[in-house]
Amino acid sequence: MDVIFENGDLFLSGFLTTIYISIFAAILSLIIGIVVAVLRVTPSGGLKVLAIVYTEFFRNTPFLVQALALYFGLPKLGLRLQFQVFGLEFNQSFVVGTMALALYTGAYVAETIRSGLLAIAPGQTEAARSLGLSMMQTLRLVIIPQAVRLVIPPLGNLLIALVKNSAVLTAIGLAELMYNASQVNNRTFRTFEVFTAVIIFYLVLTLPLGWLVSYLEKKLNPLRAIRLNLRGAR
Amino acid sequence: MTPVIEFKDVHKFFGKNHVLKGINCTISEGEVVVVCGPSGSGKSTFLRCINHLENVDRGNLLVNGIDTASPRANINKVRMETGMVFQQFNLFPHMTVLQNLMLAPMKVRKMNKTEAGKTARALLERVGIGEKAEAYPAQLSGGQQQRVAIARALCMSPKIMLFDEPTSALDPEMIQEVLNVMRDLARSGMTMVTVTHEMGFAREVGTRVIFMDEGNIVEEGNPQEFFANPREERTKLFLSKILKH
Repeated sequence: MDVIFENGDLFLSGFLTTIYISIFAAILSLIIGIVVAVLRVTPSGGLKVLAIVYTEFFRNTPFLVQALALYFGLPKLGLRLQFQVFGLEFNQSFVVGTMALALYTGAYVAETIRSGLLAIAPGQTEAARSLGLSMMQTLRLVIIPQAVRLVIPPLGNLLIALVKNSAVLTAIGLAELMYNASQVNNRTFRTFEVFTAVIIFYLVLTLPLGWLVSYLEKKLNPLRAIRLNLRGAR
Repeated sequence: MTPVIEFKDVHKFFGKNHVLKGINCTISEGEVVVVCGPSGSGKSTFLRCINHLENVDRGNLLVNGIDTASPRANINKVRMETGMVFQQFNLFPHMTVLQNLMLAPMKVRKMNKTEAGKTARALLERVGIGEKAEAYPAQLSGGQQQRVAIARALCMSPKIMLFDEPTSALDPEMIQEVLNVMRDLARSGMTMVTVTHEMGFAREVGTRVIFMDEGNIVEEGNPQEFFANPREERTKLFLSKILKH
């Protein structure tokens, strides 16, 4: 165990980086997912095609390849990928890593939200439109609030997958938990201890996330009862 | 009597299925029209064309002077003036009864919250469920849900009310409470188009009955005449089936 405590600062900074990148990527992927899902259910041509191409591309290629392609490809396009905001430095690995993780997860988020939108009975849209609400108002006020409640459990699973996938970003040199642990391992060859510690760190993140999701699911149970009631009435 | 709804040779197709085959029909202000016919006769489509839930494939359909068949028509304007009540109620399950009623007046008519709340509560009283304002739709019986749905449509102060089989999903004992609300509404002078098999309702408050079959209006007339002396064989057959028991 001493190898963990001796390198405590490395483990801790890696752990924090994993948390940061997970938060940033989660928020971004949610935004991407909502926008893409809405584009896919509304009947407008060009953007809809773009949304389909995006989801199919990112769902059907390996994340590792996407991350590497973005990491080595984007600088060739002359993009500046380092930022300094409020005295915090975001290096290229972090910026590209966040983008890659958000783009990859966003595709799955979009599909999940889309399935939620499609699960809402068409009568809801008809009722809203018959009252004079526009398509966008109907989505925003009637369909999305109901769909969000439906898709919380699957979105929770995606969030947990996102946290775990951040380990892949080791490949583009992001100093997150896995990367720092590998550094320690390369130096000490205490593989068993090092990676047991890594597993525990990941569990500390993912298990509470799972609990949070089941809590939210239970909290929204009234609505679930409503849905079951409606089904019974038919 | 000013005409508020005018069907002019209206055709509607679902794929190859020709569901409305050249409908001509004029409905005037204050009329209470009951549309009946066997399933698949096109009666629901007839109704749903009026507020453009189905688009018209050929012909013209004027509602309050706006041709809904025209691609340039402001459909939301038509819908603001045309309330609709559905067979399955279609209340918004994530909102309370009061929120269901206040949504459209606030978002479409830009009414302020106090005013919308006042209108909503008054209408809930009118349909006899003032005490359920804070309940969620799932906590109400079918009859109560349908009365909320009627109040929700009335909140927009529509000129026309459309009812699509409003009592078909209800238990027998709840049908009357909904019909009572509809009777009151009819007597208040509201223009109503109702697809229903409640022939008692048609006799009592209807000003005209329209019988449809296979996408055509087969026969129409005032209720007394329609039920006592149907002219067409098809109408007689239909009436003998639904009035026998």
